[in-house]
Amino acid sequence: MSKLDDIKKEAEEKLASVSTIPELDQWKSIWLGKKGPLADALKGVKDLPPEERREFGGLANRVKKELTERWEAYREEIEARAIREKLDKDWIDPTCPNLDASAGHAHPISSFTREIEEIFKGMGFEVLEGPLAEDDWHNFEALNIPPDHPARDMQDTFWLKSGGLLRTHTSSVQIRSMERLKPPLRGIAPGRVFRCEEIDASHENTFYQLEGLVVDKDISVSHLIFSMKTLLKGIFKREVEVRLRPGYFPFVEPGFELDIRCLVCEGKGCSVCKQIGWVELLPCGLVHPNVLKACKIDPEEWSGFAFGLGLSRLVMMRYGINDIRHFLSGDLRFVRQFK
Amino acid sequence: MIVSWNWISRYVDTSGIDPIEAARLFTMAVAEIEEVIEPPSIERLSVFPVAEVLSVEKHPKADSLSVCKVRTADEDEVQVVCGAPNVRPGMFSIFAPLGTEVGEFTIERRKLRGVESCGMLMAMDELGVGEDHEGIIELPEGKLGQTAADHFGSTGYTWMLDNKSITHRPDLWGHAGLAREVAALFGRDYRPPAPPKDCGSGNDGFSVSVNDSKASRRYTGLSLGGVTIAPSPAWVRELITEAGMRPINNVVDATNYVMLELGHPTHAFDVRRLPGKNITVDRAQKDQPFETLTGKSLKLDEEALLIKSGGEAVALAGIVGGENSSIADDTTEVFLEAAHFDPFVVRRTASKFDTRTDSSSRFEKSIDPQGTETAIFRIVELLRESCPNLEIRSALVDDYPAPYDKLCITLSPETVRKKLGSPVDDGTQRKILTGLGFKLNDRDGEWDVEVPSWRNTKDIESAIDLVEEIGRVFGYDNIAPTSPMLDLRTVENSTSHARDRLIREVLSARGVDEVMTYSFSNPGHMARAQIKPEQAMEIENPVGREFSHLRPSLLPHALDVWALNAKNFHSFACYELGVTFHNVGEKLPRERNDLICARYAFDKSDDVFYRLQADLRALFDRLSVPLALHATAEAPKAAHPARVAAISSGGTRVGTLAKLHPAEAKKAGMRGRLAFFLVEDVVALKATTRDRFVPIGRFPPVPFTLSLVVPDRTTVAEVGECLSGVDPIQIRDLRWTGTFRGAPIEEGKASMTFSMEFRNAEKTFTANEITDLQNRLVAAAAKRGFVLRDA
Repeated sequence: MSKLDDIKKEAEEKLASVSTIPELDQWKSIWLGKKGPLADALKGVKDLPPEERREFGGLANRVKKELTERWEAYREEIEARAIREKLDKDWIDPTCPNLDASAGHAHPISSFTREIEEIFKGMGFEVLEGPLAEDDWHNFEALNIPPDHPARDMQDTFWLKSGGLLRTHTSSVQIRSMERLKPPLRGIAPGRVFRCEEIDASHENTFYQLEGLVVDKDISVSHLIFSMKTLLKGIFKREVEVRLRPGYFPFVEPGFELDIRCLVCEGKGCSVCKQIGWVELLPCGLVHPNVLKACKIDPEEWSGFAFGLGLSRLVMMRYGINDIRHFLSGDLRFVRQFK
Repeated sequence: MIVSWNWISRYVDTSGIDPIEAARLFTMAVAEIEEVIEPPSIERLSVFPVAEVLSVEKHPKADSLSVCKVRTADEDEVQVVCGAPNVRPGMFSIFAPLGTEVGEFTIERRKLRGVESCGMLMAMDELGVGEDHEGIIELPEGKLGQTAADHFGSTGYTWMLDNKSITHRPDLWGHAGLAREVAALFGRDYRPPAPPKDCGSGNDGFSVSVNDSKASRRYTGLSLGGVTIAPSPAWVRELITEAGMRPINNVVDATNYVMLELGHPTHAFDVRRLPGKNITVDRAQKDQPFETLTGKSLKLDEEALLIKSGGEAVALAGIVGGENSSIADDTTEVFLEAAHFDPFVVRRTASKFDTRTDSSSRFEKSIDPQGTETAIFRIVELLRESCPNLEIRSALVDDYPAPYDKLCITLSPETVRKKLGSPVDDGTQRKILTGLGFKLNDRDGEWDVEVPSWRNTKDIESAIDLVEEIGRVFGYDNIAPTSPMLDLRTVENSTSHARDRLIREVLSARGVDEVMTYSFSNPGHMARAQIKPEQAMEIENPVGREFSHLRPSLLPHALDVWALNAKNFHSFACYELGVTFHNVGEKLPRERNDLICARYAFDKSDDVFYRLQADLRALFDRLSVPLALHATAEAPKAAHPARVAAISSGGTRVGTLAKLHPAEAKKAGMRGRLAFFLVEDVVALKATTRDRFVPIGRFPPVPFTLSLVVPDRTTVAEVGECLSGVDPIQIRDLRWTGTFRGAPIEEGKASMTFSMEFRNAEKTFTANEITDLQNRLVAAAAKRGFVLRDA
């Protein structure tokens, strides 16, 4: 019996000094091989008396099993170590920016437009479109701005030699949509508009607006106020205090200028709100019956409200952009500042 | 427009009303007050003494300056340099002595162009009592020992009213009309000016006649004698000053006063200088010359409207009087005019001849022709104060060919509540309308609302306009917001909107930045993309030569954008998705959404062409639009002639993929390389979306690789099409894996390798079938001159 213990002890001692796979294989063939001491010991079993024979055999097998298990565990460990060592040589600099991989930067006007579109889509509005070059009817006449109306002067229109014009507001899309679609109608029309103006840091001949239009039954001023508050909450991600005051636009009656409580100073007065605590944000109003009539919609049956957001101005406010000319400069030093 | 609170207070009891709060309420209910200006305090005014100007001499070095000696109660003689045109010896004005503060400056002893100045004669705006800065203050009743407080101590608050917010309200261009609103807002009594009908009988030889009733609805005149030109009474001068005008003399001031009070411009002619007493309102002749009293020489056209006397032009109607008939210091006989002139005629004429005046800007708003009588009688009432010998020489001479029709609107208080969405009771509604001058007659629960003449020239037309009147005075803040009850429905957005979004998403994900450029172009610009000016729409009134046309292509701006960014970045990728405009010989251009996209790299290892090609393929893949590239000779001049492909979809050319021509790159100062693609009309690209699932085949595919020796400049597209055409059903996943040039391949040839799979959903291929497919591929290739490469 003690012989087996000796063998086991010696085998384990030897194993402890093994450090490579070939050494391990050699150890295995020595200690667990057919000519190894364990095998030799087992050969002597037949000379033992039968009662000892069984006991010895059991013990010998247990020793063999234990040594085999030790060998297996040891082998796994050495293999793992070998792989580790090999892989360690494969080191790379994981921070090295080998390929350009930035996400593209959206133009701030297009990402902002998209954000607002999402808000409106959530409220069941569709996105409406219309041409940038328009005729007098859609840009003026159908909007209750007849020839010689002073409002035409205020709009500083670009005229085409062909007699067309560049739309001065997205309100033209109201007309296009009401002519094309039957009420009830809920839509927004973001897009580029043009004014014949000299360009400087705060004036552009090209900028972006977003028109909104609802035509339904019994639309009231109260509905308009509610909808505008909801919209502004969506845009500014917080409750916004609004006030409506009379504003004159030929295509709405009553017409309003909507002011919001200045978000910079909370209404205390600052340079953004010109010390009055309110910022003029958007014109809105109930759609003028003449406009509905121009689109062959019966103003006795249908009513609606419309509003216009100055997208370029809102984007400038949101990011503190100090010069409107950046928008169309094509300069990536500008665009790359936005996501 | 400058609004004087003192002036408002003449027609409505404003006691206890804070002018700042009133301005806020006015903004909320009527029109925007941009600023409220607080008057200077008595303490401050007392700092500035009255001064007498003793002498005025020209500055030796500056024509526009005078060297003046002035005296005040404290100082016998002070020398000041003054730039005001109206400074003259003997006049009294207000003086700012050394050490006083004016605006942000302290008055100090200093030299102006070499001449010492020890103080300042002040203008109205410098003292803070008016807006006038044309000249120094004139005080006809000034006395040494007084201060500015004695003359301006009663100056009140003024409001800056935004003119743009009252373009639709002719009645708000005078203080009486503004006061009517204030009275209605605060529920106080309104006392409008009511001059006595102070006129004679007969006509003093005058006749008036309107020859074009479209251009003038009414012309009213009155003949006066015994006029003495003198300063106006102090109270008139003060109010005019507060409202931002400069007092001149009693006659001019009276017409200005009435304009600022009633919003009705009038004109005074010197009878002595009128060629005749028959006054007519008539159109001008083409190129008719006219000298204005402000010294302008105009050449009129047939649209311009004139006031003629004895057939001779004496005023440009509603805009400016003639030099030949204006009031002079010795005028004693005056013919007063109050009229209505067509707003469009006045507006167009004034803007054509660049002669906008306070008068024309009021006529442009559609003045109430009913108001002419009151305006004239009000002038007479004022002149009686300063002209003791005033005689009225005629009755009103009046031609009123085109009065407005009376307007009566049926209004139901229920409609008002419905439109406002607020329970405003009948009594409140009635009170508001009555306060604003409307007359209500009850009829079966509805009202017949008579519109007052001053609101009947354009502003009020129908019931909805009355809803606004009630709403604004009731206060929009008092309307509780409620959600509209709208039907549930799905939203369908246009294809172009959806496609725009998808394109932006894909390109953004691939690291391409977005830019936007102007919709404008010009011939030189367009030439860079070989576009002839006649293909583009031309702008009638461009803001500059570079903005003369609408862009028919995105390329010219893109070239500028690339050049700009190549200066600032080692590498970039950018796109523009925008509208181009195409002249199709009609009033409106055809509009098209185009896409231009580029990659630029300074680093030579960055193969921008193929990276960009990958962007293009990924984009079309995401759009589910088929894409084919072919080598082409037809490309914009900006494209490298040997590195260019035509982009096609469904057999139609839709664009170009190219490396930028080295000459263009050089012109742009680019040191790296740039590739771009241009796709026209992205909305028209036809998507081929498959919406049926195809079961995954049970039978294993057979891989096959084929190398072909092809003539140089054979494209992968050509060979690929040749191979896939052999059996599009069974040959799948055809992929180019490489092109090899050089030995052992002979000069002028290349070896191109493709891998593919043979697939059949129904069965396993037999060896014969495989060989057959292989042979057919080789045969098809051979037919095109592509030879199987020896193993």
